[in-house]
Amino acid sequence: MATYGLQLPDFSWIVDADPPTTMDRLRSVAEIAEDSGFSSMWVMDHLLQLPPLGGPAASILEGYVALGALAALTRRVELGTLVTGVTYRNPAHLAKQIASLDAMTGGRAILGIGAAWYDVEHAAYGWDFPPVKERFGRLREAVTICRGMFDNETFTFEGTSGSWRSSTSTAPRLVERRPM
Amino acid sequence: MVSLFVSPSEAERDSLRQMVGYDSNSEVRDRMIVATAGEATENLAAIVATGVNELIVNLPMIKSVEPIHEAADVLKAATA
Repeated sequence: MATYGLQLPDFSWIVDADPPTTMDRLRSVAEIAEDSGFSSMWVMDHLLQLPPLGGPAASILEGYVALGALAALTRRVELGTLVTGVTYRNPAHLAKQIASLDAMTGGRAILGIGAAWYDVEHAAYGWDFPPVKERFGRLREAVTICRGMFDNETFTFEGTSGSWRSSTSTAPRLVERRPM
Repeated sequence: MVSLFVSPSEAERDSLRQMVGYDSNSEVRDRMIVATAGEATENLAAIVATGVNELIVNLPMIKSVEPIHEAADVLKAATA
């Protein structure tokens, strides 16, 4: 039987209450999702809201902070981003975030990763936004780094860009090997 | 993943369709279900019938938890 998951793309109604009740509302969403049979919860990994959902002026929570909160508020559902743009973080840092989320949830973290697309966001935050071919090259390297860090006690990698160099301990390890 | 907007109100469904350009943009139509609960269940069940393991939905424009309940009811029926 197919399972079903819930992505939360719009946090404005959760965040913008007066007085602030962000964690209370997030708790309600988490409890309803778990009680209603959702098998996974997902957040976007954007720092500016997308135009159809209110655009840059709308409130949006940073994805991995939101997942940390959901980790504390849930017991069963898998948690991840749909999806993390490869340009946002050093990939070894990203792997550490996923491993931390996995440890905090007893093995419920999923890494969702893509080549990034939101050029306006990159300009606003001062991130490089290279051509699509380079972004896919970075994605290939990032998946290699994350997979290497998830599957090995230590991992060394030097990518074609030179700046994407990783040589590090990977602890905590994932509770179990997971798909990306 | 599909965006899911369920409402018994035709006016609400039409309003959202206009807002997102549903009728003029095939990419939007491919990614979004704007329907009554019964219609949405049929549409999602057809997707499940193709063999997907997990249906992930997002709920655009929600301002309370109630649409999460409604979506869960539709998804339960579609995946039963």
